[in-house]
Amino acid sequence: MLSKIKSYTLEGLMGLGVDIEIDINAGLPGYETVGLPDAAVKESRERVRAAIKNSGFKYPTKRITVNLAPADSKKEGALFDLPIALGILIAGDQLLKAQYKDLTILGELSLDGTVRPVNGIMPILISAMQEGRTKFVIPLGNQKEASYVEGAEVYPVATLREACMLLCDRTGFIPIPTKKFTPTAESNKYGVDFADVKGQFFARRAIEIAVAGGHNILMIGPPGAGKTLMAKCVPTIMPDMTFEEAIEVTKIHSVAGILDANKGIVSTRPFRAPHHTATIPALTGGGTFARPGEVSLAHNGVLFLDEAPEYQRRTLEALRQPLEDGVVTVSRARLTAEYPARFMLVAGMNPCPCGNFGSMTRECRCTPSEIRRYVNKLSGPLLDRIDLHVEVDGISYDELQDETPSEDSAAIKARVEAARAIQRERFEGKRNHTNSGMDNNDLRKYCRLDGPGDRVLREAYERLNLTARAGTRIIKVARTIADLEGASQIKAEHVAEAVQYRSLDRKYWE
Amino acid sequence: MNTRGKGTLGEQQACEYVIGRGMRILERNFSCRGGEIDIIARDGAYIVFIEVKSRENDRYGYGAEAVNYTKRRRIAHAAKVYLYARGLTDWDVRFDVIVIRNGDTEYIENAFDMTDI
Repeated sequence: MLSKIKSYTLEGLMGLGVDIEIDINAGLPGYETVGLPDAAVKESRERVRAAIKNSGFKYPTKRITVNLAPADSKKEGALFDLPIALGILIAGDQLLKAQYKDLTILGELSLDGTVRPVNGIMPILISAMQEGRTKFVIPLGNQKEASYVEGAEVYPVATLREACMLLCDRTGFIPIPTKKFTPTAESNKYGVDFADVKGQFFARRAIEIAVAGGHNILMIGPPGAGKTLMAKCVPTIMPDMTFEEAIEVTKIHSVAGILDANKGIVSTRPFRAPHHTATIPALTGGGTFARPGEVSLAHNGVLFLDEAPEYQRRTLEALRQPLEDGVVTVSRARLTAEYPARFMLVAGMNPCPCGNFGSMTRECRCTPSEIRRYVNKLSGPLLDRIDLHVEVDGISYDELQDETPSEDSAAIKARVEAARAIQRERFEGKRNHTNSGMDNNDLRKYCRLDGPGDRVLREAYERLNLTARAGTRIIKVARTIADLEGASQIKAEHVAEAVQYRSLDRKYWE
Repeated sequence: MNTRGKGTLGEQQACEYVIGRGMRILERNFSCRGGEIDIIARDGAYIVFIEVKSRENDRYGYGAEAVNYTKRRRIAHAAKVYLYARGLTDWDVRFDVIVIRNGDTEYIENAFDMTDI
């Protein structure tokens, strides 16, 4: 007897349709999987056999051939367990009334017949919907995630037995309702707030500008000054994600297997802070199956590099390409996957190995050459991609004990959203929609400097010995500062403030 | 009694047991180059190849443990030879193991399949 069940596997962020054909024949009893299975698929035999026996069915003493078509692409993961088990039961005439041609079935089995949740349900469902398949049988543990795929008819099952009953008689099984997530449904979901940040007005202002224009930011300051706290606060003032953005992020997190099963969707902007021992594949993505890396997990959110000079130089340089393109292409022997990586880079660093160089309150014990070697870990090209550099110094006791609350995130966020609205209108119909992503055409069109503004920039350019790239970066930041004020024309004061955020180049990188 | 004798006695007991289960014995001590099978029987639609392991006690391990990879391969090889020789290739096939321990009989149906070889 033969059965044929539709299932899916993951290929990067896409689902790949797989036909699971099972043939049961007389002959020497055995089990053969063909169609480029990986170890997890091959091992499914043992799980399937035990699950079938422990669910009260009979495991056929026959020759069982499992074919995963198309035969030329590699199949990975344990998500074929459930369709294989059902296929064996159907082919062995144990589910005579089974109706399954319209169903797409996914799930891992445990030995007792329980269906375990799998990774990548959301991207698979979305891909399958695009191919016209709308009815799914998935593990119960993945139902939250699946509920955000609009229009899908999803039947979650807890056990192999339940799946068998579903196949034989669908009455009594109600598909889960699908819903759209509303960004405002949760408030203060980050656990930190700018109200907790005492003092640091200069840095707060810089972060506000950075978020408003989608710029990257570097904070330089002694240990304990509050760089990490402020970095953690960055997502709290970013505009809420749209549903589409949330789906993009959720797909990546689902593939990486770090999705919260209770939520089923990533509704808050991700904040990723990889440790400075991180390798290039950990950051950009890789491994045998070309998994997404930290830059992709931070997509639509914040990538925070604390103690940036402690990272390996090669690792830092690997960030340049995703910073520029917003995507990373991970090529491995088995597959090539493209993952989106549009993130805001927030870097924190000490000004020198001991951390106290330039501090008003503490003394630095490093030699000039030590300092130079330390800060030069951040190369010029990388620094050029970071529009704002800001010094964060330790705060005084009075500032620390000050009871008057600082401005909270909600107020800053309101200003950011207003500035973003201006930019959305400006870049209507374009791929880029923030000031940081402007190309030369946009610069000419939207960033005309008036007489005084031009003079300020000229003076800075000559006195600070800026590069051409740094010059254009300053103009972009000035554009954002003007947007925050609601000004249509970039004025001298905006340029002057923008120049401020580049002046550290001279102090540290000479 | 020597070891050979004990083994034969165990096989005799196994045969009686197999018949008691309603199977028909087709062949005993089938052997070929590279393999051998203690009992070949028919159980309904199945041709069953049975390996008999006799043990007085568990001093040298539990009887079924002795049916290891090498032994399974020898059984499977002999089974193939038998099936081809008799033209029985379209039949369902099963590999069973009988453990005789101090006169007690334990029957392990479908003890292994070709994937275990």
